[in-house]
Amino acid sequence: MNSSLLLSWVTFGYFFSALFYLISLVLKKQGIGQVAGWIIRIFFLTQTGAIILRWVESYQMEIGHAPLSNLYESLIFFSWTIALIYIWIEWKTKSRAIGVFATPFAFLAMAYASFSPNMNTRIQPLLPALQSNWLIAHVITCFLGYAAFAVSCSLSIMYLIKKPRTGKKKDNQGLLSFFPGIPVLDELVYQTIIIGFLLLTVGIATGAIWAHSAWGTYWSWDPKETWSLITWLLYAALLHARMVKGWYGTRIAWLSIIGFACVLFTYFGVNFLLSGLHSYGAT
Amino acid sequence: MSKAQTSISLLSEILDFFASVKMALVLLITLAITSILGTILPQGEPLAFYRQLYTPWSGKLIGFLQLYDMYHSWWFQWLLLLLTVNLIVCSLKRFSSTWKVVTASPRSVSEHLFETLPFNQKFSLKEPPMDSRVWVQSLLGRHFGKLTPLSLNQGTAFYFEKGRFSRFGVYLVHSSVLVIFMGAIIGSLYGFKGFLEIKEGESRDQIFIKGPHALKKLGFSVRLDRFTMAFYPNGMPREYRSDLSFRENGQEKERAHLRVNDPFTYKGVTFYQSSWDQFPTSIKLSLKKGGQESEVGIKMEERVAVPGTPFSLLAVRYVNNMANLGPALGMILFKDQEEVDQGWVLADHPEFHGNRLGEFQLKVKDIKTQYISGLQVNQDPGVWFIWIGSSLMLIGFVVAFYFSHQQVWIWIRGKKDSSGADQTEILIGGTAHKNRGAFVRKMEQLTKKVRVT
Ligand code: HEM
Repeated sequence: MNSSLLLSWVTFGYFFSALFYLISLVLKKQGIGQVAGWIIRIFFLTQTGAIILRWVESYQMEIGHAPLSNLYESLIFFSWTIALIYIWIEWKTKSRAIGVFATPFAFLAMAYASFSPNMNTRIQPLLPALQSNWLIAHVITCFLGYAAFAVSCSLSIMYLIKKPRTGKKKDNQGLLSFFPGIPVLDELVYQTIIIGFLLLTVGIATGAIWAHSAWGTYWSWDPKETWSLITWLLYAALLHARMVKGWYGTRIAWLSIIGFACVLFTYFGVNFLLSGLHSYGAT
Repeated sequence: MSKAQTSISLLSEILDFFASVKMALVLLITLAITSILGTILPQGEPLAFYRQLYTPWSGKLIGFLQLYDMYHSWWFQWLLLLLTVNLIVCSLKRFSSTWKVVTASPRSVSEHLFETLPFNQKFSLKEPPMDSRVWVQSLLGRHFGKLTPLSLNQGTAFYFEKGRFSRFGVYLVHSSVLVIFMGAIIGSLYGFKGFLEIKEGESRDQIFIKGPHALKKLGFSVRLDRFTMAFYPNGMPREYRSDLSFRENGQEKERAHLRVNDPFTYKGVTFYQSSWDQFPTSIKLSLKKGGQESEVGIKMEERVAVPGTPFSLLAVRYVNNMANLGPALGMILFKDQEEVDQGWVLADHPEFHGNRLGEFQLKVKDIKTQYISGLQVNQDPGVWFIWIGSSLMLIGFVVAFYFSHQQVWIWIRGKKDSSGADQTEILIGGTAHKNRGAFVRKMEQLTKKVRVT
């Protein structure tokens, strides 16, 4: 038994969970949704175990460090955080329809980690600059924040699908009746954005502390840093638009989707298209 | 309208302009969009680079807009200044009304008050509660903290309140942004970023600072006692460490072990392990020419004669690892005073055919090297503002997002029902300055009990 094997099970587990959520929505069968819910919970626990196991394995190799050090490990953690936040939301709202939109993100992150041909999946020692507890705090908070934004984006998509069809006759029988109500969706979009914004802020601050201890500058306008600031500014604008200008619903949903696009660019785009200190993509 | 009045109304218009949230939105989005530019366009290159890369015309534009150092350009700084002014004016303008709300005593109950509250319900009970204060306390006390009786002519009224101070959360967030800006300004005005390369055993009392290669005196001297490296089993570097000692007037004051990610501060100047290099102290070479072999010992940048010939050798450069072939020496061969050849000699590959200068085949017998440690040397008196500002911002976020000022009024009064019998009417109403939806739902849940009784 090793962590890689467990993680490949998780990839398939998340795939089936996403599939079952979809089937349950299409066939309007609550039972299948329940199965999907069990699958994601079981594989979330498996993934938790696998991450811990990978950590232990790194100590057995005498290079012990938290499994958050390269693109592969970060994707696995990203997927884990999406599953975590989704399970929490399902438990809070008792709605499984959100699973159709949120669990594919968890699966896609795992699939990218597992199947991308250039992915370095080995456990590698940490270069001196990366040996920092602040860095661990930085990565954990950033990814929790990204995951909250991912879930917020899923909720926004649901909002945009449901909104134009509400108030119509078939509303009560259609697939959309399984979606949470429009005000609930709107509220959840906002709540998940707040969580993401808080965590992103902690992420940027801990990153600054790390950079300061490693290089003596807390901010150097490196492309990745700058993109995280761009993302942060966009969500700050969104919060003001909602809070003060009274923007609700559709506009906020679109802003949330654009915000998540910025998140994705910060995460992947910067690695592949721009150059900088954060060389996750290079390995 | 008098002149004074016009200028006052003009002033208030200007203030309104700078206080508007619309302006804040425009600024935040503009900052976000313009920031993209600097991540696409290479930063910090000389102007000639851009002229060559793009058309001369765009080179001019890049020069004018200072896009080569976009985040410090005049217009970007103007945007930040505008945001600052916007933030200050807006907060000052709103603060007085927040202060009024926070210091006000609770409003007394009236029909009109209940009509304006986002949550308000009326209940009729056949019998009045035995002790209305205890009844109200048991209904809502657990969730809404302090209960205040309101004095009244008709009936009894109570007032609950919690989270009054959460109204300051937003001000905390906004001032934290200013604290962070202040830290950045202080750092750029009174701090410096410097660099120091120092050999083992050497002392330095001045550093290079960024900009037009200026030297800066430290006011003390720093000595590199030892530089060490450690490796993982697979050969990847695990640790770089400089053992430093700090001296003043010839006296040792303090020692430090500097590692990557583990800086050391002496007298407000912080030293960071940044890079390393190696420097040969003595080199033994063997030279072969036509079956004749001789050995010479040389030092970097000191010309040494090859015994019994008119030739002499000079080592000008040393590279730690040349194209993954290990250490290499850059050498020049002279005949009398004339340069006749130059080339690289690979130390770890003695048979390499390129280890030739003129007619000599060179072999490195031995190199003794010395480490050079590259240290980043900074002073930033503003950095504490950054950390304090960030902490305040986070506290402010939690207060602004997760706490709200909640007020609940309860009015218990006698009333006759349609048949003329005595009844008790209870009005419950409340408001929250944030998350009204959640507040209303909570209130509905809590007041369900009333209907049951
Ligand atoms: C980077 C800068 C800024 C940050 C991080 C920031 C942050 C925040 C946050 C977190 C809130 C609370 C939002 C909520 O509860 O949903 C808020 C509210 C607000 N902000 Fe800002 N803000 C910034 C700049 C500005 C500027 C420039 C203005 C100028 C007009 C402004 C005006 C306001 C107003 C009027 C509110 C609502 C206050 C209330 O009545 O509760 N903000 N801001």
